[in-house]
Amino acid sequence: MRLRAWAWLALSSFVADLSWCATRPHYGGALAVDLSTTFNTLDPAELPPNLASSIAETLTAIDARGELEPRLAESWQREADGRRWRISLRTRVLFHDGQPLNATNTAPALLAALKKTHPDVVVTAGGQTLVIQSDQGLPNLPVELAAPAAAIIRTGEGSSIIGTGPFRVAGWEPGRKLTLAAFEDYWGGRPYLDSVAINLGSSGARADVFDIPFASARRILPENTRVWSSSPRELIVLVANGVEPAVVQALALSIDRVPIVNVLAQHRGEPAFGLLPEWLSGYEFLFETPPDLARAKQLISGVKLSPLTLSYPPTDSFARAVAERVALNARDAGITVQAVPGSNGKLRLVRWLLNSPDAARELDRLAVFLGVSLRVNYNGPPKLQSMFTFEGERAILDSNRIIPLVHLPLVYGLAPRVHSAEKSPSTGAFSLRLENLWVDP
Amino acid sequence: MLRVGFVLLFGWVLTAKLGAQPLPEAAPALAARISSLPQHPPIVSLEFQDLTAQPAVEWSSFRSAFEVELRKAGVEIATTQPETRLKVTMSENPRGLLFVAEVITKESREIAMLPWNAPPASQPKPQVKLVKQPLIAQAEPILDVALDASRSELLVLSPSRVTSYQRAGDKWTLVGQASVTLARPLPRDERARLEVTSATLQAYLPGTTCSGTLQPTLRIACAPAGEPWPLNPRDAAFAVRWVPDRNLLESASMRAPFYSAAADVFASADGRIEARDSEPVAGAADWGSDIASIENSCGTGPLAIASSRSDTADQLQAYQTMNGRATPASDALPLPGAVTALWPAETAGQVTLVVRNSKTGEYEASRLGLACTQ
Amino acid sequence: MSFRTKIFVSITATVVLAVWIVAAVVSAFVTTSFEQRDAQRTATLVAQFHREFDRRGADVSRRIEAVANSDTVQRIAVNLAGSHPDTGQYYDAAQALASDQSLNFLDLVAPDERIISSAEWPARFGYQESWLAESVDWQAQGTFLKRVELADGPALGLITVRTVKAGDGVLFVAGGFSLDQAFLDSLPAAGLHVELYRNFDPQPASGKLAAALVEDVRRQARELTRTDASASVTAIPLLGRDHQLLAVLLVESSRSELANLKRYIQGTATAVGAAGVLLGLILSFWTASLVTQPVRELASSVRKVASGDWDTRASIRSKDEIGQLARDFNQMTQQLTEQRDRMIQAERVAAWRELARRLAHELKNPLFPLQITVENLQRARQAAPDQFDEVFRESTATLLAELNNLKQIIGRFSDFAKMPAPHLEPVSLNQIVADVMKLFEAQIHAPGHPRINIQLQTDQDLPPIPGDPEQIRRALSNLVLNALDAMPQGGTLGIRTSSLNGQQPAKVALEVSDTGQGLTPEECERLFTPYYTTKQHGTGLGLAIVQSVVSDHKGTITVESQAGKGATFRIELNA
Repeated sequence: MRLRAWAWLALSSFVADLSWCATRPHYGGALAVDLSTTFNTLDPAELPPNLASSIAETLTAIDARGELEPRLAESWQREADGRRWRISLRTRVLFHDGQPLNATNTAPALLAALKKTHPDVVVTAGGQTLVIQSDQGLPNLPVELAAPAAAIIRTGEGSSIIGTGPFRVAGWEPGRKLTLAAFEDYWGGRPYLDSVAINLGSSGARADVFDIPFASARRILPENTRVWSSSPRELIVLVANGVEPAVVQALALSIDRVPIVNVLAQHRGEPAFGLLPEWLSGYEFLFETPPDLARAKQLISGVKLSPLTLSYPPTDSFARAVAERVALNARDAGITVQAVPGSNGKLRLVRWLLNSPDAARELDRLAVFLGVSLRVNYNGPPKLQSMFTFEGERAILDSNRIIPLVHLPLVYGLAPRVHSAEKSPSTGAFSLRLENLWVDP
Repeated sequence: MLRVGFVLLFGWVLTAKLGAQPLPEAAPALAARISSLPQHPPIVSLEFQDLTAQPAVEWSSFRSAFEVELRKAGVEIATTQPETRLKVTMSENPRGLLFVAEVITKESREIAMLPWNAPPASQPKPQVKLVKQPLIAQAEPILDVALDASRSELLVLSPSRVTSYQRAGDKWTLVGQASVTLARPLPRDERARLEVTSATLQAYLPGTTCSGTLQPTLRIACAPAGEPWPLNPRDAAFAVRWVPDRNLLESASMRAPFYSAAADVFASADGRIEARDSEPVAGAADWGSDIASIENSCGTGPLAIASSRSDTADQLQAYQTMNGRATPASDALPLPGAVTALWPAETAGQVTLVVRNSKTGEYEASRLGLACTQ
Repeated sequence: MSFRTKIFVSITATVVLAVWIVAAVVSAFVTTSFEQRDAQRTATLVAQFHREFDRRGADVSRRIEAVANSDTVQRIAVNLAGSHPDTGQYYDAAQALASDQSLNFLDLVAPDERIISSAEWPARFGYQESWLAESVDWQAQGTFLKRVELADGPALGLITVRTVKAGDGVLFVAGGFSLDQAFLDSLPAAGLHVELYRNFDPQPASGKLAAALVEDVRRQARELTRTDASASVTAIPLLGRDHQLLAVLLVESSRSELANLKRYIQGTATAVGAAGVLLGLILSFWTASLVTQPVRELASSVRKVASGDWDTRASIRSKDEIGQLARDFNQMTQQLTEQRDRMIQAERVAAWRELARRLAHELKNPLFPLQITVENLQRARQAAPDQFDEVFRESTATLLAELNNLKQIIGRFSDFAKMPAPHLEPVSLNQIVADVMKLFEAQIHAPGHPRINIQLQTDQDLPPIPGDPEQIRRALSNLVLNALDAMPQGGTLGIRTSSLNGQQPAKVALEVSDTGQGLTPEECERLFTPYYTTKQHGTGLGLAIVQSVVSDHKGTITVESQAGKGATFRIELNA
């Protein structure tokens, strides 16, 4: 079963009952959010992406079509063959402490972010204009500026941060609770909510908004809870280290992904044969290969097999269930796989989250995450991007180190009083943004 | 061993348009590409696969056109089992449609991709006695529109500009544009009101009021707002103003802010539909926040046009409100998206409607009128 | 063997034998008792196992019934009965249900035999359990043993199946307890080692005995027992639903306690035996000192008496039998002395009487002719005075001959009476033999003498002996003479010398044998009595002289003879 891309949007919108609402958004109110994950820093690069952008914004952003759009930067010009960029900042943007955004107070955060990948970068600030240059060249600077790591922030008291986003940090207990308050002077319009209280590491289902991890007790939802499901954003993948290519191929042929999706993921998500989901790449169906136990056994018939360990994150019960299922499928093909908690196995089950709808950028990020040497740096026209990402993805999969398993959506439970006023339905299918939520009075 | 080859469609970079293109126009491009593959297959079996949400009727025209173009390109389509299979998949991604052609032989598989922008889906026709006349659609939110008496000039108020159009046949031609300089950032739920006379215009935005002239060219000047303005051009006594930084209206004669009002019925901030005396209006429990009054040429007394939510979409319906009760006066008019603006029009008996199309994301402005059924 | 040794051996043997018998009896009794006890305990444990098995089976059935009647299972059944069943949402239902009922295994299986949810192996959802499709009345089947597949290997389960109607089919609820070590630990196994060997375990049962027993049970599925020195193992086969052997309950009773006890008994017996030996040694020494000392003293007295000291008296140290024996000994020696004296006296009288008789006999013979001669002279003088001279000449010749005879007779008696003590010097017996044979050579080879074969066997390594050569020569001459006299028709005269090296003190032997008519046992007895002779003539002193010489040389003389087969005289002298 494979849902078409736009159907994901329809499904998510329909199920959430959020987007088509005749009632206008209501200003005011407090939102309680329970997240099962936890984090100990407010560094935008470490925060969940939709949360980061609610506090700290980037100069550019990737829209729902995977294309760049201006954010804190109004425009940008490429000069000197990409070795210099001139960026015009948006006016009338204020930081949470009231300071107006200008090139001078933008430059430090920008320089710190760019230095990590471009050691020779120089940022020159003047008025509302930033000039960024590097002798090594900055061909993809606008895309890099959209990364959460390049968010424009200033450090506040304690470990708090000062950004320009629709919410400001009103309270921060690292690892336990983050309290946000509406930024009245947000340049994009004051958010509807007055405040958002985010409880971290919470497993309950009583808040206004709570995430629903797979294989969690939260699957039993309170009455009237609505479920908001994004388009598939999380990739569950097996990474092999030091395993013979024939064994990896045989393992890939032995895994039946459909029961994993239908049962373990409760029909949410879809089997993954490619690294990028179908809705994002449009060509994932080209990688689809049905399970073939006979072929798998044939591949390993001449190979000396030894038991493989498949490690999964110890506290992730869904990953454990998937790992055990993979071990069972492998056993049917004659490959002994033992699922163990940890991170040192010959096979590792890892989860990777899409940050944006930009296929090329996400594939590049994934290649770095997986530790494969193939990099896709696409500089050409957007129209040709699909072919280049397909080639890159094909090369990664042909290395016989990676076995994609499933693409999963992010799923949230919403209390009946919660509504969303998304600016565009496709954005709503990618992430649930706090600034678009409002609650009944 | 599969050998995957890629076909670079540089030609199509130059000629492909960013805007929506009818699907059948993709057929020649794809056929030409396939015929220029290194392994030029003279005979193929043809398979189609649709992974999109586009209606089947859209694809059937493409398929027919594609088969014709293939033959023109010298590729015969066989019904028996030739050595080469041509599998065409219509897929899509956030950038739009994606055609993927696979030329499959025993030894190899060559792949070609052609991105394409799908046209918007056709609108289902309303079947009510509410009559909707589309005016204009654009990607930027439309806050309000105004037509001149001859309906040949159209003003469109957007959060960042006012645009004037002149009708040229079936199309509107842009004739002027002026930027809106906001004194305050607009609320997230952007609302505004446009008031137009023969030569001047007023745009009332939360926190900002813009005044301008239409002739000789469109010019406006904006300043921080403050003074009230008439919600209904034909009811100057009922003046409202925007609550600062909010999407709510307030009036000296009303106790509490409200979203909208129509014929002494108000959609209050707490989601209830109340009469002027703050008593709830019966029969309006499922009304949305957007209501507007419309003169009833088919009966007595104005009607209230109210938005509401059906099973699958927003809809509009006319109601008669009397003695604290709202009674449906028309069938529901389903809409292609959520209502973002509903204002009494400058012309009596009409209401300006702006809907955000859920599929295309565009804001579509229409004029709503009443057609008498009896 | 000395008395002390005999006492020691007797006591020791008695003690050791008694201890050994007791130890053997006790050991056998203990072994029997142990085996009976082990058999009883094993039987008890097996009976308890079967009871516990049945009890747990009933418990499993009850719990599975509860699961089948639970809301969750009913909801699943309703879902299955729908037009579009989707049981994926229940994939982890079995774990909660199993936890509620404390079950180790629980599978919820759809009508198409595909697992909806598995508590023991959650990842197995969707896999097929074909065995449930068998047309079985699961209610009547009850609880049974089954091999249960788990992620980390198979296990043995006590399983019950129930069905719940789900549309046109049934939902299977199969589950139960694990038959594992915890189950065995619940059995009363005091002193026993209980092991459950699963017939699908890759490794064999622990212990050679148990492994062999498992093989036996595999061939014939019935209760079997094997015993060796260290343990006794009973195997009870546990069969599955289709009577296939799934497991073997091994009840091992260690015989180490028995072995230890037996070792203890043996050790104790050995210790007691050793103590008995020591006791015997002590007793023997003590008894010997009590008994053998006086006996030795008595024996010493006896030896003294035997050596001629008839006046020896034994010490009387106690009033017991030994004391009585000593008293009796003394009395005996007293009596013997008296008897000896009387006998000596009587022998003297007899010897005097015999001497007188012999003398009278010997003298009478010559005296008669003397008397006759004198009477003849008287008559001749009276009757025929003219013939008196001739008669006087004949008669005086006769008188002189008979007087000479008398002189010889008296000379022999005189010689015998005044045989001197031997003058000891180193003599060569072989040389004496050669000398004597030279003397008799002429006589033997004289014409008309009966043919006598001489067989001379002399030991060339014969050592010189202390002796009086003249007396020895005389004794030998007498023996040779007697031998020749015993063979009037001829025969074989054998003379042999030999060295008796094995004796202490060392001795030499001189044998003189003949092939004459031999001697009767009575004659052998009286042979050395002076004046006893079997010859028609002679004084009968020859053998007496031989005996006297032999006696003076501290030797012995014996005779062996059978009537008609000759006689052999054997003289043994100290070397």
